[in-house]
Amino acid sequence: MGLIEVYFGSIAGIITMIGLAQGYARELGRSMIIIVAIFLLLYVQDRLNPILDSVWRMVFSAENIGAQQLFLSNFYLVTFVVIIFAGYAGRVITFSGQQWPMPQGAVLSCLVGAVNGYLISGSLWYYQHIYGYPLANLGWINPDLSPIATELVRYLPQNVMPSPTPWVIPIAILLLMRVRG
Amino acid sequence: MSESTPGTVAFVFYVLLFAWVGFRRGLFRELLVLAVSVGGFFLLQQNQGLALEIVRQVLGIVFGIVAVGAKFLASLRAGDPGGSSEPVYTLGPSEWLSDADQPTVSFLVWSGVLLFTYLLTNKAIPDTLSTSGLLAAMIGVGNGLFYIPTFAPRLIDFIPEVGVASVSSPGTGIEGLLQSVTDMMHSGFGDLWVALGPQQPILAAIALTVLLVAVISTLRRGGQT
Repeated sequence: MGLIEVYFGSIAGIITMIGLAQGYARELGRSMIIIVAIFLLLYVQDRLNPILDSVWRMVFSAENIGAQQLFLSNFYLVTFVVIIFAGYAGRVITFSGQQWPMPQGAVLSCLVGAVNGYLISGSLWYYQHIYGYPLANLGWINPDLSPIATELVRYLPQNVMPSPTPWVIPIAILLLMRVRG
Repeated sequence: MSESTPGTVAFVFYVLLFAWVGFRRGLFRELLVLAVSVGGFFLLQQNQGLALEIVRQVLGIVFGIVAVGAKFLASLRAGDPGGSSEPVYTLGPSEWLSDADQPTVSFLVWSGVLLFTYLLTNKAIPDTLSTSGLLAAMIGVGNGLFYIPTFAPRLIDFIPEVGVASVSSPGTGIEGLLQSVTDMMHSGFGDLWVALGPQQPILAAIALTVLLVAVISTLRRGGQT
């Protein structure tokens, strides 16, 4: 099993490549969806966790903390991935205007793709981190953090902006820009 | 006025200076400089031995030419154009540059390449290809911020009061590269990030927004395909 930073870094790299292939005009709409997803999950997390705990106890009536953490982590992971998948597979919000030509356009696509990669991969990592890396129980990831991973965890999107409130700023501004055309 | 105010003003001035430089030079030039500075820095950190060897080879050629020239001049003075007199230049690059000089040589090579890239992009890239704007200013600021952790540890000898930690010696391969990046983030931006205190989230949100708006503004301008 490889290092966790390589694992999530690879995910970010793949998303950056998708951004490069798709072009930044489309990627910007996806950035918006990703930010909305992060905002929504942060907003409901504290309110939803007690309910999810209750559901877990009702269904399984067991005090298995590891399995409970895995359930919570997977709930947020699946919800996040479903929202992101909808953003990538369905119709996205687009901004009017044409992209810059090569090579500047490609660089901007790479830049926006990298931002999306950071937001997506960082969020997936975050929902592993706060629930104690429950996927390690399935042997999917290595929970032993290297010094690099420990440092990088500080810069995960939800650790940089732990409250949902600041996430409203980019959403509101991007929406305004979209409405104005 | 707090004790940190002069530092904050200096930092703002520094950021504004690089924003202005970025705005004047345009996006494409600044992106090339960013790619060369960031890519070159980490590549050289990973391959310090190779950089030293290349510099030694180049200096070997230069020293060789100088030695031949000096020998020729000396032989002319001695009235022997055949060059049979003893060489006058004996110092070789390997004596001049020891293995302990690897970090210094790498840094000097990087600085030289960076300066050359600034000059070359100014001359070789036409203004029409390097568009000015908010994004260009932001990339300019990005360049300026990258120079803080790269130059500040070296300036500490000149400014003893500056408490910037030196970037540690990296390992090799991808792991070494990642270590270099995190070391640099920590030593260069860690203190700055901590100094922002409770304003961190809001400033991060503003930075993300400005970045996305800057990219969108290139779409809104539109005309090019």
